[in-house]
Amino acid sequence: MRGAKGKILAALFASCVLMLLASWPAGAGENDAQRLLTAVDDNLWSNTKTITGRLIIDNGRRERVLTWEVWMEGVERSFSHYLSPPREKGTKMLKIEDKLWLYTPRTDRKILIAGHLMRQSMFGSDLSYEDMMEDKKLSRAYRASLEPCAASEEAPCAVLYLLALDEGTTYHSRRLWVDPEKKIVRRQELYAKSGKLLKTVDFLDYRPIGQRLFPKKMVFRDRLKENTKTTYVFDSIEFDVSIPEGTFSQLQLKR
Amino acid sequence: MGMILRIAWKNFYRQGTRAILNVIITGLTMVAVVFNISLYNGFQAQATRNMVRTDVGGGHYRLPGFDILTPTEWEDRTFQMPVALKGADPADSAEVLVQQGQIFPRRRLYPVQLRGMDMRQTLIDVPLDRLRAWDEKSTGDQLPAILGTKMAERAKLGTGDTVVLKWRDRLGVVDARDLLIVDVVPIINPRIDEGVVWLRLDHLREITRRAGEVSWVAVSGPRGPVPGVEFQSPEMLMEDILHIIETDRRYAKIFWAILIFLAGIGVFNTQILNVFRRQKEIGTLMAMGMTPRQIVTLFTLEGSLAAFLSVFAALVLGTAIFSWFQSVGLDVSHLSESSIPVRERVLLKIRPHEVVQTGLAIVAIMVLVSWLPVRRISRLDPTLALRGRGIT
Amino acid sequence: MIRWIYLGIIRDKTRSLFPFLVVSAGVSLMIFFLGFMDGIFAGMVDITANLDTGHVRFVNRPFYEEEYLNPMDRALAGQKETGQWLKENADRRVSWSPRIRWGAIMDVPDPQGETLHQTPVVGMAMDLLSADSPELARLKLADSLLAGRLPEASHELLVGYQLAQTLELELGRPVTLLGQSFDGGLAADNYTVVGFVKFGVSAMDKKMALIDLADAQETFYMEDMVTDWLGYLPAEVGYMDYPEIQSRLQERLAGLLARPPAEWAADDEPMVLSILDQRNFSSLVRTFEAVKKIVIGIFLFLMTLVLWNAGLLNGIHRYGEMGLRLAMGETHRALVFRLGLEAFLIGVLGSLAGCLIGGAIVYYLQEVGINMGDAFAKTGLMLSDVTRGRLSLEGFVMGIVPGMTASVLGNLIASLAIFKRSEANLFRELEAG
Repeated sequence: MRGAKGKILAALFASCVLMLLASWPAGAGENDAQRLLTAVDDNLWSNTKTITGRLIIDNGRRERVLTWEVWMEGVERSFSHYLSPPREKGTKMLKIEDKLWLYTPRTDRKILIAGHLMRQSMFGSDLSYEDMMEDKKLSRAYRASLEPCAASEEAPCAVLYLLALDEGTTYHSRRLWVDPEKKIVRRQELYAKSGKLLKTVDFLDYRPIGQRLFPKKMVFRDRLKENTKTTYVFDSIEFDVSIPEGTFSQLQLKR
Repeated sequence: MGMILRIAWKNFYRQGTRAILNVIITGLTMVAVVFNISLYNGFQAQATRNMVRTDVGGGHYRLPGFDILTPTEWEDRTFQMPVALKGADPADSAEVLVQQGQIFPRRRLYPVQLRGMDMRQTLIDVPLDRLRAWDEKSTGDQLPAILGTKMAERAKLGTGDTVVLKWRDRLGVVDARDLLIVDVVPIINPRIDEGVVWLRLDHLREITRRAGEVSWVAVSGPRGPVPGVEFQSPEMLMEDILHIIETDRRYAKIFWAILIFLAGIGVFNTQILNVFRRQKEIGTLMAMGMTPRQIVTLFTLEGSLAAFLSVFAALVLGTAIFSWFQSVGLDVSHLSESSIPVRERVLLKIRPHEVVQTGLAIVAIMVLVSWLPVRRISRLDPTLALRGRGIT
Repeated sequence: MIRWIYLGIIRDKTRSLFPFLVVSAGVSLMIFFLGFMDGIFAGMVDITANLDTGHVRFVNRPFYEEEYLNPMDRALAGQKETGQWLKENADRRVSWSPRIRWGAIMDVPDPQGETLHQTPVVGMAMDLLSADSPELARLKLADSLLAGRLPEASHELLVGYQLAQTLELELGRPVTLLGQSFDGGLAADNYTVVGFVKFGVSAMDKKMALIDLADAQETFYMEDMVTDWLGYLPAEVGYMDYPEIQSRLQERLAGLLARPPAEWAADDEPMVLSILDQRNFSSLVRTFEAVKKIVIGIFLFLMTLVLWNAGLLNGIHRYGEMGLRLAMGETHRALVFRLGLEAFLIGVLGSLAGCLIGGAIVYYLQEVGINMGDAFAKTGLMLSDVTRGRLSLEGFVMGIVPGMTASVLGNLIASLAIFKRSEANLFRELEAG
């Protein structure tokens, strides 16, 4: 009776140890990956920031340059204001969580971008309004795992494979090429659920801004289309600024 | 009366060639009018039959407000196959799911409608055999699809080609796969050719995570009210094409009015000449005691005989012409390329009541034109008529 | 001799009036009928041409090849210069109409200005505001209005009536069009809904909106640019002549391409289409021609029979006269010849009258038309109720030839009888007649 109980306990203990041993390296890798992703996120996303920059849209035949400024609070709220060219001047976009409003001075109306309008291209770029609307940090929306770097990659290198946590996430998986030391992304690939590559984003010209490293350029490409390219150029960035109250309000659109 | 008929008949057939000509003209007019009406019937029947066969069936069960012309709205207007419609014979009901997609031929965007067809059903007739025969296991990374010839031409794709398809599933997740065009087929209804990519229903449901969902259920006939969905009759679904055909039909009426007018001229002409030339005969008949009324009847009858006989002529000629036509048909195969859903050969669709109506109308008109010129006999002075001076 | 016969025809109405009437009726019917059939088809052609394809169309090839996308970025610049070139180089009869095909999201605000409805619409922009614009008459827009009025000022818009229903639009209310500008940028502009149009094709009634060309150029930032040049030919030019006008213009195009307007993009390459190249119209034409042949065949055959019959009657009518003339020494041959000549003259006169009557009716149909529809129920812009006709040389020929031959032949066949009958017999007919 006693001996039997002891045997069971011993067996339980042994299996626990085995399970721990078996899961340890993988768990550590995943944690590392997730930790790296969080670090990358933290580097990109601050509590608040303002950016002045350019949006360069190249549709293969023609290139257009828009200048704009944006105030952001986390990933949830942002307010952008387009300054040029003359046609787009005064166009404003307000994003609050999953809602997006567009204001154009010409119509003097705020239009709710919702439903299928979200999937339309923004200003003819390779980004849809929906792409703009990512309201979660990658580290919150995806589970990361590490993959080996290709030999051709410049060191130091880590490849993070991201799998969506929520089954409704627009892009089912992504792959991030990361510098594990600087905690910065060099390149991101976005995949369809089937694993087909849809879009790529290249992060170029990192430079220090305050305590962080921030890219000077982000280049978006739609891999299903030919010869199109959308480039964000961040000319000036300020982190952790105080944003005037009421910036993220619908009243601000018409002002 | 019997005597009048006998005299009329004798007078009629003694006209010889002219009598035969009048009979043939009137008979042919009947044949032409019936032919014309029946050809329209044939067109309409074929246009609607093709739509019924390839799309409409005996009506659709859809969610209220579903409108195929508004893709941004129909995408989510799907529903679980209702219990009341389940378990029907595959010949009586077809489940259809439509979703939006984008294909990228030559890496350029082409928005399409993805139409998932139930592979067991036999109600809707679109040549999707290659999809039906597709072995699910061998799908691999590629999704088999069929295009109509027009669509294939537009997108510059052919059998065996692959093209990237991008779509979103029920939850909005972006997905993309290679489509393998397993067949390019002629689709007799151009409305479901251009801009449409045909998939297996099970495949479309799987890739969009819409298990058991349909956009509509085509049925062979109404099944009574089904909770939550509404029944749209074929007439509602084909409203505009029926309207177009109706407009065309009005033109046909002008056509046969002219024909009848033409035939009428022949008889009218004969009758005028008869009255003019046969005054002596009329005077004699009057002198012998026939009332003007009887003589008018006699002459009218004589003229109308052409119409009565033409009914038989029309039957003989018509049977010959129609049976020849039905064996050949009017080749309108190229029409399938236009937006009118007619293809192959249009055959006549002869409706008995229209034949009878046409025949009666023409005979009535002929009797009328036989009577009009001879009316004045009743006003004729017998003595003048006897001398041939009654009408100058 | 002809004068003598002519006087005979004029003076003796009994022997000339009726055959004359029959021939002229037959010829005019034939001309009317052919003109009418052509008119019906020309009407079908025009309906598609007016809003969509033009009789001939001058369009940028890259635009045409991706027409389903409505790629406004492939529109053709240099409107003034291109228009001038077209005017100088195309067939003089073509009237050119610059158009913009556009697509946008229509956003309908509630009274507070918040988005109430949004739906994608397709549209066409054309000159609706110039006082001398031929477009209003061409499209007969006023006749297709179910409610409201035509645009009178800038930024006014017409919508399909079913679209108006689904979006709960009210006349006089603003809507916002949200689309892409020529270079891919955001285009957003306010318009006032002033009228609901019935197109008669549900795809259009549910999705279509019409605006003024200058407005579209402003809204979509397409100054001096259009997506299409639609060319219209007058009704007397048949659709079978379009391809020739098209190819002549296409030949001249090489000259323009060698020295293109400065505003054109490097890869702009306009092409010339006729309606027969579009919407599979050529196949419709083939069917129409086949049906026409059958119908004309039947008609021609019937008319020949009727005229033959009339000729026969005419001959029989004059047996007495023949007897008299034979008795007076005229030879059989000469008599038949004279009768034939007389029939020919009657044929000429009858055909002439027939051409005038039939031609006048068809001309009226061509220029004015007859409204066969219910005056109060609008059938819609794309389904015209007005029956048109089209005058063509072919129609006249097809009318005159059987009109002449059948009456002469009928007369000759009747007069052959005089060979069979004795003079005495014929003379008796004179007494009887």
